[in-house]
Amino acid sequence: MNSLQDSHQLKGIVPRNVTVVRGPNFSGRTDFLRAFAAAAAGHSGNNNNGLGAYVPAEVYNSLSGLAVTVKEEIELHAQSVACLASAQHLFSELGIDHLYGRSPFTLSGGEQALLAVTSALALQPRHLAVDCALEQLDTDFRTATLNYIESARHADATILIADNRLAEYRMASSAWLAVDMSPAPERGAGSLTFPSGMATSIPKPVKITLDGLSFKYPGGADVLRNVSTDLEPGNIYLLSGKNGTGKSTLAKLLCGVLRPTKGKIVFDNRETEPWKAPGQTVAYHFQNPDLQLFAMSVDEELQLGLQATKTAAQPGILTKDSLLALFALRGLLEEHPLDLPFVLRKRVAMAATLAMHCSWVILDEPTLGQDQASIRTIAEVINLLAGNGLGVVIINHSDEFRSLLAKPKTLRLSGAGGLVQ
Amino acid sequence: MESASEPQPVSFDQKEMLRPYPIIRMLSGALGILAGFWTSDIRILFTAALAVSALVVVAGIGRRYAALCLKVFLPLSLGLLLVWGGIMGAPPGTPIGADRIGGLTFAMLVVLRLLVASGISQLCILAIPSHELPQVLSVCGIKGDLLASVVAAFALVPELELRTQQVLTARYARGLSKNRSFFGLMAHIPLLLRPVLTWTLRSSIHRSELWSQRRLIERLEARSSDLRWSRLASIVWLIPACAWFAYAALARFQG
Repeated sequence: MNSLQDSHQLKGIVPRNVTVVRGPNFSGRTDFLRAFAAAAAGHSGNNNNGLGAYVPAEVYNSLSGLAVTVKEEIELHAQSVACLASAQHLFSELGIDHLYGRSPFTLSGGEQALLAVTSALALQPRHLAVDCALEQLDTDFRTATLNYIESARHADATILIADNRLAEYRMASSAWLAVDMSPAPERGAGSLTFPSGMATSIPKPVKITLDGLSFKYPGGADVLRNVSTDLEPGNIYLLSGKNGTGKSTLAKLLCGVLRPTKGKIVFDNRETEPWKAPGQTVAYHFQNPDLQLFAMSVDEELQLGLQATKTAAQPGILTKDSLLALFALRGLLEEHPLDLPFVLRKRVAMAATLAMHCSWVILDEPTLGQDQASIRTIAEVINLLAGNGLGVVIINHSDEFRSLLAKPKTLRLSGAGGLVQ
Repeated sequence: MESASEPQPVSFDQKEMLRPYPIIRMLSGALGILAGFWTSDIRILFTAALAVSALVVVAGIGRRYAALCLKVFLPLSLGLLLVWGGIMGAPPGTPIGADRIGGLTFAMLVVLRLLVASGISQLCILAIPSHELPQVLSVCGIKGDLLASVVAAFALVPELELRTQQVLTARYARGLSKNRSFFGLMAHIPLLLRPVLTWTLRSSIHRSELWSQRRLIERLEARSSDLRWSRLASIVWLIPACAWFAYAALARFQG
């Protein structure tokens, strides 16, 4: 995109206001937001130094790498003491002051998203573009952050937000506007479409029992305390809870990446130790695909999934060909996964997870960055898999996505680390 | 977050008492390291190593230094003691087996010198809070693009460590690795190299874009005038470094 030349063509963006940018995947939204943030350079205003800030969906890349603690990260960005106080107030309001002393890299995905937006706002930028980062926030974090953005709409700043959960933005301010970007299918792989008549071949259903599961990170406080529940195959479980309550940690315990400090994990009435053979019964799709993908091509990513569980090719939705068709990845086999846009990286990571052909799959924020059509397709796939006996756990904050799933059961993690059913 | 007409600038927590002038910090470090390599008296080197260790703890980087000692210096010491005290049984330039004590002393000298030098380097560089590093380097005359490159180089090491951990976690999650023992981790190294290197290059691109767009390094550089340096801390750093350097120089050049 030629910087602001194109952005001016987008009618509806009003300077010094907040605008929600809508549009399907591959409509050039991310390019536009990046160019918009970059275009701030050189424009000095009354209350800022012509700075621009772009907060990507992969919020990890929005951390400066120069700060040891969250406090330092915000201080590094803050234009004034007032900005610092304002950020501190937001953290207090959300009851997460204790994060101030933590390393930004050890925060949960949602907490990192909050920090990324807070730091960017503390810059008092002329242009701020937030690209799907807010989708990772729970209701409380999101409401507080949107109000914070509203209060930060100072005299000389123009703020753009791209997000697929548009309905939830109405609450922040009636002054906010929305613009639509037209679809440009030639730019990428397009929205996901569900291939009709697709059969499924699901691995043997396994029942999971968690018995008094507790976990704490070395040197940290308890993240999970005495979590006990039964997870029946063929069901969809929505794992919910505020940001930082240990949803991803529980997922990592189930797939065997982490070892519980106390308690048992039982597969089909057999006490097992998944950390001794991780990724065999439960496959985990990471919230941030960049942390999951490491192969040199999309093809290799999918092959690694199949290799992990030594699965022979079987007809059905979990074969490589079906996954490539389903996630619209056919033309990208030779591409390096990290060279793809975020939306596609997320899809590659999801396909690689399903390719593992495990009895259970945990999808951490599967709709992140996906447009409405793709979200519907992802829901259809999940419903089909669960309908054929696969166990599915979903970590997601969207009420709209929940409404698309077939009879999901909710598991809610409380702030105290326990499970509320 | 409404800005006032004259917003008050942000300053980091001031620990002036612990902050010597950057030039003095670097000079003291250089003198200390040189003196360490010129000193041949094992008792003095041992005392210096103890003093440096204590200072490292006071500076708040004790854990990192302890890890370095355990992971690097302990195996190195054992290896050198075995080679020069056991196998060779003599220091360099002496017939094999002629002076076992001399061999052990030589091995200890090498280890203590490296221990002191690395401790001092950590005190001079790693003890600087990362957000102060651009300011300190800027005062030392490193500015502009060179400053950004140097700061990026310092940011790279912890990131490499973090990314290695992330790739390992991803491999476990995807069922590609089971053995988490030391030898299991060693076996992973060839598999980690490519993804870690690729990611590091990508990360550098993201970081440079972020720093440049938000002008983080420029802004930190500009804040260098905010930092207050302590004369007392400078004297406390310089006097022992000069004294030890003078002693080591005299001992070396006067025999």
